Amino acid sequence: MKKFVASILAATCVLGAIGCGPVGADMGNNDADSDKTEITVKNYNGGVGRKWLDNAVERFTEAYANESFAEGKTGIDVKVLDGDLTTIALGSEAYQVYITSGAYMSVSELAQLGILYDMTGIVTDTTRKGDTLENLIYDGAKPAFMHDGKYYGLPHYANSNGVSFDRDLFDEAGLYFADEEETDVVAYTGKDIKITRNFVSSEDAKKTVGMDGVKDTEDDGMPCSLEEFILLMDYIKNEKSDMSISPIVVSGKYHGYIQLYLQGLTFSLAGSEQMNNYSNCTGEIDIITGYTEEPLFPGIDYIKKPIVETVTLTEEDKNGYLTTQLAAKYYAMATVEIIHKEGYFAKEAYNTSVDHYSTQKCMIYAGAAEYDRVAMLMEGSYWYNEAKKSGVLNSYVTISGDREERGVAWMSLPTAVYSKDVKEGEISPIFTGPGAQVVINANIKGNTEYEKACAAFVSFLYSDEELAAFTVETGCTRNLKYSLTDEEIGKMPKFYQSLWNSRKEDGSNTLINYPTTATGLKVASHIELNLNSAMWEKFNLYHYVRGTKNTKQMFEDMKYTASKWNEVLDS
Amino acid sequence: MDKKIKRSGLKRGARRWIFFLAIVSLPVLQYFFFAIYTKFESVLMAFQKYKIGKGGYVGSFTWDNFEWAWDVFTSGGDMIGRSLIVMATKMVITIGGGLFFSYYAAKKYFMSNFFRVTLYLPQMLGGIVLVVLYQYLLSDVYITLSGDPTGLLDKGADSAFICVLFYNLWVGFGGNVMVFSTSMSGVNESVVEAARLEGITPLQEFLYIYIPAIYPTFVTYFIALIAGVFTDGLQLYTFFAGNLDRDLYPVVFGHYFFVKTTEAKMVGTVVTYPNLAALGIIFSIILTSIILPLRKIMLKHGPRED
Repeated sequence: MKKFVASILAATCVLGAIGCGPVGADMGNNDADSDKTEITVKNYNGGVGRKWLDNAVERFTEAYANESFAEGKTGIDVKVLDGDLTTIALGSEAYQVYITSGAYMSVSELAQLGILYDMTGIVTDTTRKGDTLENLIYDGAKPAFMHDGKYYGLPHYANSNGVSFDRDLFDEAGLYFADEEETDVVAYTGKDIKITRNFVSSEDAKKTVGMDGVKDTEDDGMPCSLEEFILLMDYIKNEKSDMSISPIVVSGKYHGYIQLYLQGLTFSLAGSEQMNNYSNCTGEIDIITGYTEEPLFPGIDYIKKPIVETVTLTEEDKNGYLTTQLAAKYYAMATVEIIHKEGYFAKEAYNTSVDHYSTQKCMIYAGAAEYDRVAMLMEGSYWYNEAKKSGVLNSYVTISGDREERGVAWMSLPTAVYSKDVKEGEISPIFTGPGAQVVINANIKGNTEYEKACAAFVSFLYSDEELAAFTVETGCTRNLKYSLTDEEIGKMPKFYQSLWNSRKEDGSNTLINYPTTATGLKVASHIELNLNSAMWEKFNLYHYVRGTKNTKQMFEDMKYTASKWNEVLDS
Repeated sequence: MDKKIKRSGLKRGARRWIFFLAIVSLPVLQYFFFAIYTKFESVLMAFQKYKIGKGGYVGSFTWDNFEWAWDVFTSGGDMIGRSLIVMATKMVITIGGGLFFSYYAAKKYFMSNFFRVTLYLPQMLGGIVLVVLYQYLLSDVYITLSGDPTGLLDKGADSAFICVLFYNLWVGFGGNVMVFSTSMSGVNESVVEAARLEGITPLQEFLYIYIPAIYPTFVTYFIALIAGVFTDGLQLYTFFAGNLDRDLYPVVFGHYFFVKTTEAKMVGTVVTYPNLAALGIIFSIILTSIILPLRKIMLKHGPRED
């Protein structure tokens, strides 16, 4: 008996050790005895999940059922496993294709390490139906997927950060700015901000054409300037008080979501050209060099109008530290101070037990259940998928008495501080980082079977049909030029329809903030404005709440001196 | 009865060795990998500056990480202060108070088992669950009952610190009581009886019989508390996520270290792994220079059972 127990014990230990063994590249899922080629995909399950991929894999294996990638084998199997790219030791992993969040490292850095397969052949393939992928990828996105002139990755899903709004509520309460010629209006002078605008007084009243200057588009009736944006919240709070609507909400538990709003608004106010200059530390940007005694907006005297100068950044002058004084960032931060001080935030913004799911409920439930009714939400565009996944959307169907879908939409953010500075036709850019990526493991190099199979699979995922299917399935876009039919658009939730409609197919209003200069790449982590980036460490809503700091003080805290900048450059 | 015992061709000694290796190789391997190699790697990392090269990271020698770490350490007076307050409070309440209560429990005084279970209950729930409940209590429940629009965790770093400190004491107390009272239950009853016949008071019994009996356990807890002074994050991440604004949140080094580690990368981030490795070494040097002599003194001069 003792021997038996001892043997079991020893065997357990040894088997345990075997179980802990690494996943080797040669632990071939591509079994020589198998009659099909098999590739393994590691898929990041967050963001857009994997249903889209499972469906695509099904279509792919069906389409390539009679294709041979190796002698004696016909057809292909694609095994999908959940996970993200989290190591540089790809050579010892048995995954051939990675569909990643992009959080671990940029494609160019991974390529520099020599662990990615050169995908130039796939990207420049002229036999692709339609155009080559190279011609379809947005110009702004290309540098993020290249190294030494070669392509090592493809853009996966793109997120936008900023504000979503309850369109049903906007329709019901008439929260749109009215066209100048419209007479069916409510003339409103702000109680907090002393400007006057007309709001529509009925659903049939004509709205303004918005920033794009075109009628019947997503931004009709939306605020074009910051002063209008503030007036809108003023109107909701003071004029529509009988409806008990809170103008805007953000998670009280995760104030980081304010950073998403600040990022989106900063980019919108600065515009694509200036933000590209910002991230590259070259070219012209508007910076703040001082402050006047004049209020930033009439009636709001606690934020002073800054002195703004346009400066030219060059790598030679090493004056990139001036990026930390970006004027647009100050204006965006100032709006948060106003939102707080004028009481535009819903109470959920100040409750540390309210997470992002609860604020999503505020939007979707629209006053039903115990959540406040809010008009706008500070969030990334992916929130709708999260709400779907967490069951918030399903609950709405019950709460609303079987109403199918709440009409929420993506908001085009203002492009100017003052209405007089709004340039008609200047479209609010949809910001998106290079983010998620599709890459291939370099360890397949030399294995013609894998090389052919992976190329076929990735090319399939990026065919026009699959690009469209991806967006219809997930609601998310990819930073490539592709279109959807009206029928396909109609299959998406209203929220994603609005996001899709806000996006120009040619990518002209998609801003991908990825540096291409040596300085830009070196200082990226210091100046980037992404969620939880170092720059936002100095910003916190609770400074306003407790009166410890105001916008000017937090903005000044973010500034780099020339000597600190040089330290970064020399490090 | 004549059943033949089948034996393998291996000698008894060899078989024993194989069994021994099968049993110990995995834990030893794990120990070398997780305890030795990772420490060794982080010491090396602290002296390196990395850049991305073909096939991997390329490191070069530098003192810069220590310069950065020393700046962070010396500018973190408030974080050190909070950590020391937590440590001192834990020494008095969770260890000191825990010892008294354990004696109470070991002596099976009135409702001692009930208190023991009640105090240990928080340990049975996950940290996140407890923090969420506690947060709810200090925000929603407090706001509703008091009419104050701001929850107790949101009133500034000092107020939040008191709340977090209380939480940590509450959660930590039961665990200590469980360990100490279990150790105390091993005290020989005949010794206690003999002492009683000599007219010993309960306080003397506690000081001269029970404390010496569990002294090694006490030393271990005491030393571990000091050793963790810079790494104890007080569950701040669960309370306040990655917020590091020291004017607003009761940030301690343990929390700072954790948040920065989650954000750091080998290269390309404002704070890198090598920076943090250097900070870890500074912590280790300071604590080792305190802990080793202190432990020696405590064991040499502390009470003994004999």
